[in-house]
Amino acid sequence: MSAAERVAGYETDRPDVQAHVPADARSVLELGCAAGALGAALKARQGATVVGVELDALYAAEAALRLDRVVVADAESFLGGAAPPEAPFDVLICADVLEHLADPWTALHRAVSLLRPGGTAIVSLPNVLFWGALLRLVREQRWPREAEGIFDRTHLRWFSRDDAVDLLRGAGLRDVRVEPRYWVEGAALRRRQALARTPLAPYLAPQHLLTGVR
Amino acid sequence: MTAADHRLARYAPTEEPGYYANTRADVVAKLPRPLGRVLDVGCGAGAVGTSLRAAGATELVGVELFAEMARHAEGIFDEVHVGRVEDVLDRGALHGPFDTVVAYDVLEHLVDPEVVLRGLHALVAPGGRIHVSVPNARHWTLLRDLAVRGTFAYTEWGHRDATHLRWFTRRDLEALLGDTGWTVQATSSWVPGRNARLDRLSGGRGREFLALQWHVLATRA
Repeated sequence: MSAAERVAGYETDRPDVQAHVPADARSVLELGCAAGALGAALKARQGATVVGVELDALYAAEAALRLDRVVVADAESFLGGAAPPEAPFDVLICADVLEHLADPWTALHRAVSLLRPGGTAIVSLPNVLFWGALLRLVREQRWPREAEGIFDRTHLRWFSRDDAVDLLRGAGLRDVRVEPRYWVEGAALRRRQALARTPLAPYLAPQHLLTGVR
Repeated sequence: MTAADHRLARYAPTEEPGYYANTRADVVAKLPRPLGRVLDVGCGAGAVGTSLRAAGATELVGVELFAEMARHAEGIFDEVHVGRVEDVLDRGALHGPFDTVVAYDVLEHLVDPEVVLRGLHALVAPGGRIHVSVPNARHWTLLRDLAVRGTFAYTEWGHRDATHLRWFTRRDLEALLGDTGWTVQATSSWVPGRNARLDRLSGGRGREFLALQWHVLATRA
């Protein structure tokens, strides 16, 4: 990826994810840390040790300036290797990364094994049932695949809310909770939240943020 | 076995032997003649090779991921290369030009089908052709599972096989071939079982949702 191809969605410090990181967490493993914005925010907020794994060398070089350690690797090979010396971690973050892997089920299972018992996993995934994606499939006759964004063309795996919950439970996590991310604000957000009490709920959110406890 | 182990086991070639033993004679019948020098990407144990040979292929070259399958295919093919097609292309093991390339039920397993289709394009003689098949991403069972059951519902084998990484509608597949330098000549479908009758009754209007697979024939200009 060249600097020109950097994706704005990967550059944010994800306040929605931060909100689920326990205030007393001392160590964090972040798969797909991009340029390290989220990890840097956690270091500033609570002084946690943050280890990042990033596939893209340009992002990793930038993240290395902000985090405690950055491994340049694809998440699946990193998790297939020896456990990092910093393990076990208090928090595992996989924000919009598992859908890029050929086998996210095995990857998450291995990643959870690097958490301490009682540690928290935070995962965000695109929702394949999002109405915009289904409409594209039915009306435009195209699989939801865009140059970038929540239906980025490099996605290999597809999850509904139920599929995402199964993914976390199958990886050994309990107390799995789901927070739909609507990506709208104000009155539009209130409308979505009202509709979420109807049978339309599974189709409203482009993204799900999930948490679970090892 | 954990759920994750179970899913990994699906990558083994033994799950559905029929998948690797089908000669696909009906699909090969759609190929323009003469076949000339043929490359079969994902040749399995060589079943399709038998049909290609019967249809007059002058030379048969195969690429197969699984060594055990490739060993069987060696009895039918002139030459079989073992490995991921991306790697076989990268190491320059395939020597063109080929007159016909077939890739049946392969593109959906690839992380980057665009790169592979461009690589194959470079190996085909001008006027040569490629014939591909993929599962239909608009098949009614997938739409039903998404809209009604609320799940993507990966399965052991078949349409929603857990090893399928890429999903194509008819338009997606035609666009993919166009984007990688090929000129689409004809698209056909495979509508198996009782859905074939529904397809006839609907005068083909239901085909977008009844076709289990799309087949596209494209040429190198």
